[in-house]
Amino acid sequence: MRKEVPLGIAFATGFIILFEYFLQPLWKDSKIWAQTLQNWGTVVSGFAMGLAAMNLITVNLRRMDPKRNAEWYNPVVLLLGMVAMAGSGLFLPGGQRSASWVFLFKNIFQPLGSAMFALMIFFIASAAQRAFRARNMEALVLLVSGVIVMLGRAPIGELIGMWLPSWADWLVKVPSLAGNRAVMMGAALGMVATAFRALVGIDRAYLGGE
Amino acid sequence: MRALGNVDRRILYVVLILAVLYPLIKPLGLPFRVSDWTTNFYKAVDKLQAGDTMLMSIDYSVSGGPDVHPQAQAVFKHALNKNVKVVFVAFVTEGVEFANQMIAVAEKDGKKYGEDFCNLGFAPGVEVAISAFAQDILKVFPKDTRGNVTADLPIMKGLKTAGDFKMITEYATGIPGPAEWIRQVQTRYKVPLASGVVTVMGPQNEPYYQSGQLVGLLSGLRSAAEYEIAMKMPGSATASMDAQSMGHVAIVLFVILGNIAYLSEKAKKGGR
Repeated sequence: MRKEVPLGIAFATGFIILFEYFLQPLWKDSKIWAQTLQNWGTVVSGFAMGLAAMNLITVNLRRMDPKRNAEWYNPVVLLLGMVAMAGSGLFLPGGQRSASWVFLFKNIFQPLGSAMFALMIFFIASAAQRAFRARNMEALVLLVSGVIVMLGRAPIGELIGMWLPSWADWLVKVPSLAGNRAVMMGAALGMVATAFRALVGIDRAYLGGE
Repeated sequence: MRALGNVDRRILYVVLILAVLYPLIKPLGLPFRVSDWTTNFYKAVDKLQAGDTMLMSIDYSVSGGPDVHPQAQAVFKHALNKNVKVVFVAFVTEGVEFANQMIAVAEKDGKKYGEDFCNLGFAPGVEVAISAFAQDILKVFPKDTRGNVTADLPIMKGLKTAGDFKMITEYATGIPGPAEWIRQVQTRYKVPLASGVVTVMGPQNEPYYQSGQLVGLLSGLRSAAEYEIAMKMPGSATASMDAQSMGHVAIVLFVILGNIAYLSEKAKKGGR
């Protein structure tokens, strides 16, 4: 029963959602059922976020022990940040519109996030200089394409020559598109197959265990 | 030549910083064209009539914000200039605050919350939440971020499902992104959908653009700058284009130098 009940729930849920999407005229009430299930989905996701927060706190409280973790100060900073953001958003008057929460978001969270993203450029620059080399024909094609797209998609490309943005556009809209489309279609077919296997109970990985 | 291939990375970093900083201090004013992705996005918004309602789903994280937020700002400005009403939602937690920041600027310009725009807030569940929202907006968002009953807001009059919007624009740095919106909303409700994404996601979404499932596509800061140019209102994104150009040039130079060093070393070893 430990497996049959969850499998039955998964099958019924998937069946109702599929039925509502493709065959609604055959069963008018399927819309109400599907809508209710989807609303439950958002509620369960909300609880999952709470569970994730609890997990984060538990794991990092354990990592705060200086005897076991030389970098004990990292979880301290993490938990302090979490308490400050969550506390100001939950308990101060105005919640997420309170001056303190907005201050923390605008002056700490937002700049830190942007800085992390911006720092990637240094790794890209360093990696480009060391690893982006024409070792063989395939690497040469990749290298030339990369340079054309990088220059052609920035204003400097138009200064070099109008042919450069045209070539960059062609690379994105023809060969890159063809590859992307093939990957997307393959992934979509794979998703359908996996969903079907889960729905009929062949694939039981989501139940945990083997 | 070997030294050229093994330049200390700190030197590369300094060169890169200088390349980006210089045009920020002394703008070069490099001209650039507006791509068809941006032109079609702009035209779709421009076609809306005063009083129409557009949905803006703010689904980007703070890390990708510098690349995508200027796009949303430009489109919101365009909509307000045309007296198009805007409803904000978010399926990523940070989206709520990004929407609030845009609303704060618009309120200073005299536009009214609840009439010209509103912020419904965040719903967890990603694709499931998008689907639930599309089927019944008021059920997923019974109250907005200011605690108002959503149904009582004048802007929400006549809006029950995603199909009631004249246009949907969605801004993303990952999941949910255009694919989720196409699957759950565009295909079912046939509402024109346009998307703004972080630079690396642009080419990935080209197939949706060519199939017509996306009526327009903005990719990164460059597209935001193009949108500002299309509106004839150059702003912060346009100002940063020179820095982006010089950053690209610096990286291409690093690649060329690295390859010169590599090929000369290879030649020395007899092509091995």
